[in-house]
Amino acid sequence: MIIAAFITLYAGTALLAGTALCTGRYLQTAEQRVLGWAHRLLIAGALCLVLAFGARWIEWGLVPLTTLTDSLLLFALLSAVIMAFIARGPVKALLCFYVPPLALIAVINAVVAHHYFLAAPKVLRGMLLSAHVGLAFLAYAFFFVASATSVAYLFQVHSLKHRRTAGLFRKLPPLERLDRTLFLLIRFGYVFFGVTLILGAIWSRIDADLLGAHWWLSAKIIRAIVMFMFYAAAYHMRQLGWLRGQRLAYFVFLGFSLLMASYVVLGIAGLSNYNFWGSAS
Amino acid sequence: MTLAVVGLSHQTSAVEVRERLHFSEESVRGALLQLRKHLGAAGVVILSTCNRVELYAHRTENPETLCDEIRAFLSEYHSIPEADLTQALYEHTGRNAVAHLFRVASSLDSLVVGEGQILGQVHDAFIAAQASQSTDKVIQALFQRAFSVAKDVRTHTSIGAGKVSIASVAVDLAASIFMDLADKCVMVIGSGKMGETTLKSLMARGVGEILLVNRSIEKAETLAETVHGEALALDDLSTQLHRADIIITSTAAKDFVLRPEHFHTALRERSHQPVFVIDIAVPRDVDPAVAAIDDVYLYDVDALQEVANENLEARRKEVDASMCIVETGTERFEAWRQSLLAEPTIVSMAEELNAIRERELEKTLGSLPDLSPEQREEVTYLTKRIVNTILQRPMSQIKREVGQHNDPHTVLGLVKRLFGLKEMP
Repeated sequence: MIIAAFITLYAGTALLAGTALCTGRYLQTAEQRVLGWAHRLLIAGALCLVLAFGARWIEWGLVPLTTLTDSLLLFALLSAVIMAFIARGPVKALLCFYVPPLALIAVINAVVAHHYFLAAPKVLRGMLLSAHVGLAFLAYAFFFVASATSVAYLFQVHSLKHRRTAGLFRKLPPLERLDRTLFLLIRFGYVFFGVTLILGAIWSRIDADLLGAHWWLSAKIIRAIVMFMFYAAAYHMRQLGWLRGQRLAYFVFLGFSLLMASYVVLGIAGLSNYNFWGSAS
Repeated sequence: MTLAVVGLSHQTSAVEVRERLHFSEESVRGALLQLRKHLGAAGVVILSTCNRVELYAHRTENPETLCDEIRAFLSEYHSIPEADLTQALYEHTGRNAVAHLFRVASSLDSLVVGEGQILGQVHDAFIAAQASQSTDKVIQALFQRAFSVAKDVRTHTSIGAGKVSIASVAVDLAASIFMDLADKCVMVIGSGKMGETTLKSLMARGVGEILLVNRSIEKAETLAETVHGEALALDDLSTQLHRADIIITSTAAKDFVLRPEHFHTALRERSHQPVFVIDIAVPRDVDPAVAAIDDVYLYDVDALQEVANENLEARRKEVDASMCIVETGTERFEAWRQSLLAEPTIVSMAEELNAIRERELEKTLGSLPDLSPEQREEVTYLTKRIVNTILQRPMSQIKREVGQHNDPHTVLGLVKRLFGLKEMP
């Protein structure tokens, strides 16, 4: 089964990389059919990643969410599904913004997969924790696609302001539609992230002894709460009409950049564990 | 068997000449019948638009004089001495005539390359010719192929992408900002002609609400009645600006009518929903500093013209790719047209084999007197089936070879010698 997991992971990654190459080819040639291939490759890539996730699950009999590769695998496949859904029909050119960063993440993940895939995932105690982690990555996937959409929005704004209205500009959806898509993605991400935090809070009550007395002071929890408040602010301000268009796009892009930066900083500093200020049992 | 086109276009003649040779919609039918009679041609089509007048004809006899006769017809029909037309008229025959029509239908020969109107005009000209029974097999195939080539050019290249008139560029840009114009409000400030044209283009795309602002409220009301809009006085501009998603300004004011402060207030009131400002006035009505405000997209006449020129340039870049499609289409059509040369030989070959079949059948049936009528019929049917099956492959091969061969008469001569066919008249 480990072989199957590796094969499907590498195949899925190759398909995502192929999708990214197709978008690059499209930017060179502007051939619409190339985008059609890109979309099909993206769907095929997502299917392969689903199979890789399934193979991993079957192999260990555990929900595979606790190693870096497993988490990124879930993140990549969820992002790919959301992207394939949004960038369908006449707005396939959005793939030019969506797929290259996703393919990069998938390729990096595939490179380090060998080390992580040979180790068993840690045990997630109960469905509650599995749902908590799974939903967190679903929310991240929405935030990731939202940040890519915000780049597409800013590209359109830049083109309009500088009167560069040829090429890719023509193939992307109108600003108003991008703004609505952005809002929708934030809404879903916000809701899933909210549920993630609630499930996490419930779990912390159940397994309080495992996490230690000061679990809520961990950098991971503080980051999650800050991110939640950030996206909550974005969602509610957009809902009220205080933040939209260009400013919302900047805000969302900044939000995801902060999220990524915090992951890297906390990872390097070794502050990703719970209870780093307290004494875990 | 010759195809020819004689005509003139914006490239070879001034509008004064073109309008003298123009065929009105009402006169085309009569002209087609006269032309057909004049040429003794099998098929004719008259294409008459504001940018070109072209007469297409196909006939089998006297190919060398066909162009002269079409020219003479034009001169006679419009009562213009032939000498006056010599400079303006061009003529193409055979393959060149085919390629010319394909270029025209694909809008590669148009004043504005890639415009879509010409295909409809070619189609109308063909329908008119068909309605007056002035087309033959070759003309029908020629025009059908022209439509198919034009469609291929539009599908496989970006020749028709990007608008090239100020009004249509403005509408295109509006569509790249807003999802649906039906729920959008357009504010027209001033009553310039260009502003009116742009408004009409937006109305054609189903824009929702129209506000007309004018220094004189009476004038605004008069305009509002014609477009079912709402009239506003210029003094109300500041308080009503937030309602507008698209603003078209074309006043004769010497100073700026809209300044950044107007937009700062309006954007707050409309929760920073984007505003598209089209400033068609000269001198400009909108302070250029407005362009720097977030969520405001300002385009003046020069900016719109710049986009139009960019689009036109992009279309020109597609001409080479389009010409390849036209070239392929011409090759295929010419191969088909050349294959028609094989038809008399094929008919003769079929007649020859059928004559042999009938002769032999008669002998055989004569020696079998006991056969019932049903059995005789069955044997006759059998011989027909055998001959048809034998003929099937050579017929299609001969057509193919004749269509593709540089010297079709060599192929046909060989077939005639092979089957002992008589020379066709």
